[in-house]
Amino acid sequence: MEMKFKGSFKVSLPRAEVFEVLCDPQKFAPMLPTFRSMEMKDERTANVRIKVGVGRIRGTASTDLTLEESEPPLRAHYVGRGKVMQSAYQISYTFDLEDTPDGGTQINWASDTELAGKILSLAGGGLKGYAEKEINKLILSVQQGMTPGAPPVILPPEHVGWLTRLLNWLRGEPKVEQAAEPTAPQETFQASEGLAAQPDDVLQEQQEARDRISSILQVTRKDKAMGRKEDSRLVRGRGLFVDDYKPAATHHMALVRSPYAHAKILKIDTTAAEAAPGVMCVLTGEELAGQIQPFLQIGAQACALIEDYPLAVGTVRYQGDPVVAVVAETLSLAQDAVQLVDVEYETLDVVINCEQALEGKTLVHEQMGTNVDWQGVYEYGDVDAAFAEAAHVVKIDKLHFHRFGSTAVEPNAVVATWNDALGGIDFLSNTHMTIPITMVSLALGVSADRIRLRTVDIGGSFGNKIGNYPYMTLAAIASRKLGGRPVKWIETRSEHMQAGTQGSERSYFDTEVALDRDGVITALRSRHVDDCGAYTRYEPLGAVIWAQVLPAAYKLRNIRIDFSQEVTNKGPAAPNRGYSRLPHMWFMERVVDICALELGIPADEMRVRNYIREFPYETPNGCVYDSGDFVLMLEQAKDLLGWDQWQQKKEEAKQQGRLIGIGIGTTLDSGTNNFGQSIIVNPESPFSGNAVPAIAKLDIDGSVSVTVGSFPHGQSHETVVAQVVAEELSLIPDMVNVAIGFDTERNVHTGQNGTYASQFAVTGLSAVHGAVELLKAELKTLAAFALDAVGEEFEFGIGEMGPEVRVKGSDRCINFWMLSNLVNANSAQLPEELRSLDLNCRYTYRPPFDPVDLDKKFGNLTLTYAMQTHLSVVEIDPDTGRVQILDYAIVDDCGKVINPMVVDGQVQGATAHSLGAVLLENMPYDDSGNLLTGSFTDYAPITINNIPKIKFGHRESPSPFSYNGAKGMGEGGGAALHSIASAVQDALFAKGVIVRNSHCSSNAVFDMLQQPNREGMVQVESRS
Amino acid sequence: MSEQIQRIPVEITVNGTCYKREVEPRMLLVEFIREEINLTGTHIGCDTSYCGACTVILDGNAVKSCTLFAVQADGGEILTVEGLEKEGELHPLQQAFSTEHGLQCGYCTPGMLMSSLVLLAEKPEPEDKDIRKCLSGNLCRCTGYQNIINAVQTAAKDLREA
Amino acid sequence: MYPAPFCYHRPGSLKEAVGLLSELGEAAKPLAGGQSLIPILKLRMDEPSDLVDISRLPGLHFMQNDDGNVRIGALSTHALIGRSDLVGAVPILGDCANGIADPQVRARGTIGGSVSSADPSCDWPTLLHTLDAVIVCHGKAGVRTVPIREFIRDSYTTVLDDAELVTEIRFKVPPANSGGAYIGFKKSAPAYPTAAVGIQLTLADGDVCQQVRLALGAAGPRPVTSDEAENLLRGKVLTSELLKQAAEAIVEASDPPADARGSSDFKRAVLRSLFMQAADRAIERAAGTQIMGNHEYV
Repeated sequence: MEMKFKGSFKVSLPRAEVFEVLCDPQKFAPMLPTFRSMEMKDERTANVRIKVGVGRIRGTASTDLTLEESEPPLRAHYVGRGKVMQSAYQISYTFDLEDTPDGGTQINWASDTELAGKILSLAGGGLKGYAEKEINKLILSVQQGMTPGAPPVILPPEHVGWLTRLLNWLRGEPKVEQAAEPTAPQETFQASEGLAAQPDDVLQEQQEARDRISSILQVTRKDKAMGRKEDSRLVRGRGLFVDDYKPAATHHMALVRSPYAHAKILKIDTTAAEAAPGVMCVLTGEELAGQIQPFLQIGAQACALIEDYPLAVGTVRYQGDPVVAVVAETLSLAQDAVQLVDVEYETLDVVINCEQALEGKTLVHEQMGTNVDWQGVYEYGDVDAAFAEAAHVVKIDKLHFHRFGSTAVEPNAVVATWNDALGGIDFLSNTHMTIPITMVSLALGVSADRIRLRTVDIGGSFGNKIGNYPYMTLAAIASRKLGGRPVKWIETRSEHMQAGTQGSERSYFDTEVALDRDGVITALRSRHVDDCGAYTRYEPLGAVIWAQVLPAAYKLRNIRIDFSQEVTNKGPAAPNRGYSRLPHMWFMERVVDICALELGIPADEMRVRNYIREFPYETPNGCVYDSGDFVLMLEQAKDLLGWDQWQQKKEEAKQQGRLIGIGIGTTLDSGTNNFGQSIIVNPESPFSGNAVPAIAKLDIDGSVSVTVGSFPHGQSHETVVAQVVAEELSLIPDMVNVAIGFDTERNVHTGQNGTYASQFAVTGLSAVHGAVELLKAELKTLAAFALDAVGEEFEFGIGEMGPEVRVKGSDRCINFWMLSNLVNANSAQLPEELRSLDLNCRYTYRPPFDPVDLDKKFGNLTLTYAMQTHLSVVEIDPDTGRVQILDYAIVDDCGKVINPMVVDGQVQGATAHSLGAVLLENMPYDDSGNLLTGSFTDYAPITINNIPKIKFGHRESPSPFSYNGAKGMGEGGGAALHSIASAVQDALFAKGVIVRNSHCSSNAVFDMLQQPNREGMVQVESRS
Repeated sequence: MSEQIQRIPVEITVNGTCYKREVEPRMLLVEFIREEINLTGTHIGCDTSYCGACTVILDGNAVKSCTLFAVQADGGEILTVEGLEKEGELHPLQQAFSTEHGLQCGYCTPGMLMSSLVLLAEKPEPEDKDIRKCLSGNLCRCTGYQNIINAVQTAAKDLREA
Repeated sequence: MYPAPFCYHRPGSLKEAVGLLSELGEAAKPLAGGQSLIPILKLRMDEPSDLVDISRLPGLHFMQNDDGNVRIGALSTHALIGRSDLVGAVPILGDCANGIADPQVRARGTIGGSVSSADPSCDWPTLLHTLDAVIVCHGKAGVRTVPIREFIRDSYTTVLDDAELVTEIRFKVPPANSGGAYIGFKKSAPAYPTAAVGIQLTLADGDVCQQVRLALGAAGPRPVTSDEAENLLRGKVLTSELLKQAAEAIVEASDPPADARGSSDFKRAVLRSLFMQAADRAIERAAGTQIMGNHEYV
């Protein structure tokens, strides 16, 4: 943020005298507003401490103020650089002096302030006002001071502008501080006078409250019913989240982060930090660059040239880019030392939006030679022919999907221990995919086998924490530097906002839609530009996975999308619930709504005419939508909502001048990724298909234990696995042990494991199913031997001696413990041919994917498609733009439902995320690259007060492609973004508004109402 | 700031046990609970007093323990999530969160439980809007809140009928 | 996030507290509920050398209504005020106290702290303008009472000197034919309000406005008042048209900053809308109707 002010005033002193004061830092500095103290560093430079108060925050600023230019007796020019309140600023003061005819001096002054850092988010809009106010006061005092006979300007001390002081000093008038005596006391001081002391009331109130709580704590429960396996520890506060893990001698890491969005690092001085109490080591990017390889880049185009290290090397590329790591005995000492690190920057021009990025005047990564990290054209069918035959062509100007994040309540975290004796690096982390192992392994040159990655409880992620690996790497290096002491890093919320949670944003240009006479869309062409922020990290994978839902729910066959992704000076994007597909389907829904409104077709009818009807359906790019029925879902949702009644109410409201809109969001949740699509971003990519293992074993005590390769963080995998295994083995779920969290040492991972991309119900459970089938086969073989029943049929059940295998329909049985014993402790009994059995069965599930055709960008990219239809009714206040949700209905279809409670929970949670994104949550940057919502208080993630009462309905269309008929379904609830935008569009179309942006906060809608944009935004060409 | 680190003696009762410690003044109550006495059920989710993951009950009121210094709680009585169960048995409120699926990742849950408990102690028959008001300072990113409202209602019913 | 180190003091009396603050100088700060201060310290946006904990000072936790003269001790929490009998007599107090942030913050935050912070987004300073409250301050030199309009000089700036503390807030219960309403517009409870409006109207002969106080919050560096807007209403029969004019006049006097909560124009629109809602509610209350006040969430 830049603030410039200038002006001039006259004084009666001659120019030489004025100059003498102005050119001497020792005389000049004390005149700065709220001057505290100073220390001369050299003849021209003073280190000055001033008190500042901006926005909600106040502090002391330390500035190195240098007289950069002095031209006696004409000009003095000071430049001050410093840091204040976790932010950086540069301020200049220029004084040009002229003689006045009466022997005095005219002082022409200019002041220019540049601010960068967290302060801009936290101080909100107070900054500009603060500066302007100071200047207004100044001008007032100047004018008054210059009026003959006017009394001297006396303002209370906190108001005194520095120029007022200067004026007073030049005029030789008394110092303002002396003039501003405290107001005379109106009463004399008596400590207790007039104070009715009633603290006893407070105490009593507290006691009553405590008693009430004690009394309800005594209540015991009637039954022992529980919802999920995970809950027992979590509701007791006995989970193990990363920060709860405290190995002995753990040290704590804190980071110095860049206040600038783009700058060269000129100098880093860590001397003071290293000498600070409790500090054990300090790391800089330079040091790391000599020790490790930059992180693997997934893409093969320009992004392959990016050099990405855990700490910035030479250049910072976004506000919050880590520059120095400090490790100390305690977190507070580490944070103390962070403040002592001195970094000198030279700011560079910034790239803040896709237009600037495409223009390429400034490059985020010089070596790329462009800001476009990946580009590809997706073309299917005969687009030009379809446009030539179209009855209507609708052209839509730029649409935009905004930047927001899922902001899990637990931020990124890791405890890393580099211990050769223990076998390498041990991570307890909250990432949730095995990709970070690959990243760390390649960067550090450590074999994957020497990296142990564990997760236990994870406080949510929604994709974001896949981006944890730079910090995991950094903590590992710090631990190595500390001789193997554990190093813990817990991201703070404000760090998370800047660097850990941002989803990518997307712009859609030059959209053209061809429709036939009936309003059926026949073709679409468009140019999409994704903005992934400063580093590509897990990108440009996101840049291709939208293609899983290329035509969304619609049957058009002719599509051309020129897709590119670019880097900007914003926080690096991480996968974010609905990753890449959500922005694409939002776009498609906007296209459908805009076409419907322009052609006068009701939104529901438009969808019915365009929905895909037959399943399985192969999309133009070779994806196979497995099962479902969009039309019936819409009908069901309409009944649930009371569509017709709302249409009637909407018409009535219209007569009263009220704005009610009804919106539809249709969405697909593509689950179970085919990694084959990674060749689209990198033809050399060694990934294809998907592989997820699980182990089912009968333990030595006869208990059934299952280990899966997922990294659950709220998805209830323990519960669902126990349920599925119990069904297979005719047990009760409590009898099945499911390993908590993930651990590479359990050997249930491949290169593609993880909890991401809505897949567990398919890949995870298929793997579990496969492993249990193997276990069952071994159990039966062993039982046949033990019961002397070879060739008989067997069944599982719970007998008097616990779980057992029985000869079907008989009482000949053997319990699990005996079977386990045969293999584990009583093995001499086993005949030779059974000695290969170990009741420890690992199975890897590999979905039936084929390799993707790179040239045509064609192939099945995902296995299952859950579907959701969201309907919403909103009322918009025409005066303020305030959006109120009057009604909301959802119908979801995720195939066979394994656990209805868990499925409902996912649908509700994803809906809240997208409601938050559309109504409240946004990550805007200012022109200098300062994030304006750097704290929760500014970002305002969705709370219980913002959630409407929602009506839920379900359909169940089993997937033909999964063994259990289930579909992945964790993300589709994002359809609230589509449905609210659709409802706002419906309400405002008559006002000439086209909803251009996915953020429909009240303020955004207010702006829409102020500037109707339909003219110029949408053009319709119809052939008669 | 003096050169020597100041330490203040405090006596804080947590879940019925009185802990005497000498703490740095800047130690937050949440740090006291998590680090000094190692009760890690109380979580930290933000730095501007928004998310409520750190909510505990201090002298009968739900408070955000990240926005309170340990020295301010000197002499106080604190209840944390670990104090809800009795002899290993869950409290009906904890049980209701489980049966109503009022939690997924479980990170916000301890704060939700502590805020809800204060409400139920004051209002045995809360309306949904009371629950919304009570939990307006507790962020949950997983559940979408509806099941949390159901859980508090179920707990209220169970407590009334017990 | 942990604050930078500081020294902690817990004086036993007001006199001792004032003495300490005076001795320690401006780098020291008083700590009451800490609900505004502690987040700032945690972000290390401020690093006071000393904190003087005044939260336990005797005699500052009280609420009294003696024949319509209300006195609220500075350490009364928002929660206690919101639950107190005073709310029955002065409903606008409940609108404000029960709408500040969330229950956890209300349990700790104090009216004195809110007033002393002079944060443009804080609710109490705006609300107290509608009641013509008087702030009682204790300092080294003794006690003084300062009308709220003079007490807050600017954003975050009051007449308090470094060693002076707010000890009490005083105002008169508005007459029976008076009604007030305070409405804040927020994204969520723990977020600061985007805009807020407080209105206290005294009506005579049905709907003639006898006396009126208007104040806007989060709408400029300090609570916004407007003599012009009040003069438009005073002595007149209140019509919707007249109220709109008054809204226009006071919003004209506001200067809401553009920030993450909204643009200046948006906030002005919200202020106008809240003004009309608050006026309606105030008029109903003046007529004796009991209505609950609620903040509006986007």
